[in-house]
Amino acid sequence: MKLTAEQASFSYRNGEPVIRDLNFTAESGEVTAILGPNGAGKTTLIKCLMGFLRWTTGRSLLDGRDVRTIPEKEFLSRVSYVPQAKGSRLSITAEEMILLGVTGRIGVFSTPGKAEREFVRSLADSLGIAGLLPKKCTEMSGGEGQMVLIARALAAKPALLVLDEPESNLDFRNQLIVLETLTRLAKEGMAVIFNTHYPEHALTRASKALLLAKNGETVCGPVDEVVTEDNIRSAFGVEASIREFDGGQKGILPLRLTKESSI
Amino acid sequence: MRGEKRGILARRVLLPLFPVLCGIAALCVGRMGVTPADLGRSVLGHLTGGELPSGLIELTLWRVRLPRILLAMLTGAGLSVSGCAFQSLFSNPLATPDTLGVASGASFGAALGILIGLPLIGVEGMAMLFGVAAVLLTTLAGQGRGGLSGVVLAGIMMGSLFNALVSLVKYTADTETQLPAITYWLMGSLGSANWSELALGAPPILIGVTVLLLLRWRLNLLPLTDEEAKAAGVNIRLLRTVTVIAATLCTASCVSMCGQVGWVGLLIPHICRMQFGSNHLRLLPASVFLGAGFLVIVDTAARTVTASEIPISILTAMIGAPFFIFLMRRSEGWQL
Repeated sequence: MKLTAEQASFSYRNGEPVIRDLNFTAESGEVTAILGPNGAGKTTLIKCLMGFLRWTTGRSLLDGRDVRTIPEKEFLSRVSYVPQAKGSRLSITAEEMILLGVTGRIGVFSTPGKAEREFVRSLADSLGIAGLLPKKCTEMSGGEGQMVLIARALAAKPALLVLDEPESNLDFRNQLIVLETLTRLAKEGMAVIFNTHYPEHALTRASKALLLAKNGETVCGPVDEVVTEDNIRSAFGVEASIREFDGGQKGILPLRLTKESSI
Repeated sequence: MRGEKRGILARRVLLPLFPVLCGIAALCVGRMGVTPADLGRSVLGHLTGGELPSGLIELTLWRVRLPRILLAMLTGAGLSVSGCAFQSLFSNPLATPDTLGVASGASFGAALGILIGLPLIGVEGMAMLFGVAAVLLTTLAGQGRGGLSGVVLAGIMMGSLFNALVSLVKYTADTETQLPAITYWLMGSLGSANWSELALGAPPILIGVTVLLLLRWRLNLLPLTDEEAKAAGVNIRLLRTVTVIAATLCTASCVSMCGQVGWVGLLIPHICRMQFGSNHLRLLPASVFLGAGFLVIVDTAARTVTASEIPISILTAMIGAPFFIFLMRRSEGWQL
């Protein structure tokens, strides 16, 4: 599985381009992180990759086929999407919420049967959230809700998982749970793309990174080459220090705003 | 586990039985004294070809009460299911079957029909026509950037526009004959029920309810965002369009036969949400059965409590509002 963007640009109606001449590839077994300051267009980029928005110029290819020639249903059966988990959730149980993810695979007038329910149960087991199944989504913590949304996306049995800020608004522990899940899914052969506000998460979890600047320009490549002190300074306007800890794991500490950066 | 079994018993057995029992009881209630024994004898007589009760009782049972009870069931079920679907569609607990202006449009159509002196069937046809037209205008006006809230706003506008037109018709109507007729029609009554009316009015309701019931699993996707629903592999625009058409067919037909029957489309779905949860797999069938039974009870009260008939919208509000407040305070409150 390979999703490629070629010379892709996007601008909202009559506006400056949000994304300029993007070239990048996400492949099975890889985690790709999309980084960028608030308002740079990370969510827009994800919507373009998902086909919810159309590239103004350029195109995306799925395994070499132009995405525009692939029927939406077929595309979405291979690529699944986890939205930002915020606010109004439904008062249905986690099991029902995850089951919604199989809807595309069953007939228009059918309801999920025993096989689908068992599939959801084993999926929840593998994600370590089987205990959540009978719980109502309205009564969940942020971390629990996020894991349920990931499970719902996985219920469509995708080859590529696209997540919009999956670890925002979560505490340390839940961030790790989500990130561990992404790492494990990639190891099992899935392609994973996620938006993040934390350069550190990109550095420690992703093999590739895509840095989106405010003017729509992008830097894309192996994570070590993209997430550097220089790039963080120019994209975020922040002096940061990247250090290696004893175990070899890297960490990033933001030190101060750069002189020329304005809010 | 025992609680779960009791829940299944309530849902699978008691709920479907509820409207049936209400209907059988309602057959035996009314000014014309019909005892359950008469009912039993009549049914037995028809089945075995045996002796029938008196002709007057036969007429009351099968020509007057049964069509009216069936109309009440259809209307109750139709309005409840439409309300349910609209609340999910607009992610708004205050949505009713009338959110897109169908009842206001139908009211205008009926008032206009009475004003120009059409027979009852013509009045009902006009109501149906204008009800559907109002929804069409609303969706045309509301389309664009505002998304679904734009459609809801357009529905409010269209509702007030048609209400103004109803006032205009009332203002110009003859105060001796037409004005009372319009006023009574607007307050709602199931009194016009007969078999030929049902033959015309029932199919749209049955079609609408059936389509929504068949789609009940997918209706769970309605409150999600466009992207989420698409990611689940569903053509959300098509689903929304079908939902609006089915609910509009239902509501327009209900209103054209019974006039405005308020509250049912708000009350019943929320009672069901509180009792059975928000999964449409259970919610929708529950709304159908509860709505059908509820309106049979209310209509039976409407025709029996006083010597002259009480308009049904008065009763649905008077029974519905306190009961709803009671339920809301007892449970976790209302949510989608």
